[in-house]
Amino acid sequence: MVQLTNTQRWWARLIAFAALVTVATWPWPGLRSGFSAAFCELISPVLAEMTFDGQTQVTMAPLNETRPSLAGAEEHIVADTALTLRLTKYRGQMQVEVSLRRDVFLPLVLFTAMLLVAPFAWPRRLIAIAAGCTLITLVGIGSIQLTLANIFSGRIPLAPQLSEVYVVSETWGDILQFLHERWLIPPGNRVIAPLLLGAFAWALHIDSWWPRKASVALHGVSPIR
Amino acid sequence: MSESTPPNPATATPPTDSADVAATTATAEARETSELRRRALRYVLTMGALMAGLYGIAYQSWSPNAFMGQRLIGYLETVAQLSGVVLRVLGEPVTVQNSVVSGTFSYVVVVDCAALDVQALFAAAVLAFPSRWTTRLIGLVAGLSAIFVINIMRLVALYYAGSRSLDLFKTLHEEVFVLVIVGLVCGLFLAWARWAAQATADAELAPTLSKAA
Repeated sequence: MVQLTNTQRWWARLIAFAALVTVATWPWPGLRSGFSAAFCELISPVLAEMTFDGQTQVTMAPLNETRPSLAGAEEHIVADTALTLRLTKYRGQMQVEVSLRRDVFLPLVLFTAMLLVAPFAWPRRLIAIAAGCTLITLVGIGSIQLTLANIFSGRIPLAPQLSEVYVVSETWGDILQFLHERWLIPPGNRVIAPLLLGAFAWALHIDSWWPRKASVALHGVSPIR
Repeated sequence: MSESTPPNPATATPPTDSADVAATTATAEARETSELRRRALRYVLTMGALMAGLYGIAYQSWSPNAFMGQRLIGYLETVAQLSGVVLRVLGEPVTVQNSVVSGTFSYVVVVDCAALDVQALFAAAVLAFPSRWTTRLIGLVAGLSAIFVINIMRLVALYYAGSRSLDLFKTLHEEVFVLVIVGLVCGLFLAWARWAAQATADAELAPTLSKAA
């Protein structure tokens, strides 16, 4: 049995983390559309409820093939999912494309990989993974709702008809826009947020991995004294 | 196990009641763990709050005429100019106008491309770290400069990727480089934190050592 030094153990964790992330984010055929389909199933009851007093009908479905999205002023992403927006008093529809791979799948993978390489006992690890993944999924759903709220309040200008649906106060509109600009626009958030969440979990279970000194200090009771 | 272990002559009188010692040790360990957890959580939360504050400034939709708006535009243009300089040094026929770099492949440097998010992450991580202000200042200057250079390299690499394959460009732009840059920033921070912890410990020891001398 090879005994690893502390430094070697940290390097091994880092390599394992990189390997897990590489394997999970590899462009495997069907993975992108499969994840998109699963997430769309999950979010559809939420979207069905989000009708702004019966004025809108929003559905979300995976795209048959990925394509560059031009939704949003300066965002050019490879979209894998489309939000279809319909207004009850108008005919026609509008599509907003999003990348669930980037916005939800990648954060889930990063967080899970970070916890899988953590030196926690398995029950703790599984609880942390379940809690974190649930939180990331809920935030993913909330991000879609935030996008819709910004579109229907006119803070993301797509079409004049859409911007009249959700009438909000100036302050609430500013808050929605503020959240959109800080949460959804910075591309690094998809990586930074799950890593911070992972760091929070590591900090919470610091007793699992931080070297302790108390026992040493007590067992070797101060020969000087 | 302790019964079969011979007494260690280097230590003081061995404890007579092993149950008491075990209980005291456990209490001390629990107290230490609790303190560690409190400090670690406080660090992560402080860093998160600082980051939110820095995001508030960096990602505000400033008017182009406002002071901050002009600084931001100037920054984006500098990034574009410098990436153009590097590409020209590498023999690429590029021209730069404002924040648009044109050549075999053309790109615009927008706020998303300026690595402001990772700069905010690094700055927050350094500022929240318990060390001396001079150490933090050195970390900020060195780290933010390094991130700036890394981002220029990223743009140069994206230019080459875009010149060859749009699919490769998209994969690198949306996934790989985001991960790589955050990873590099985490590495930079860990290297600085290690140095900062040592520097702080040395600074705390210095008066004692000079007194002893």
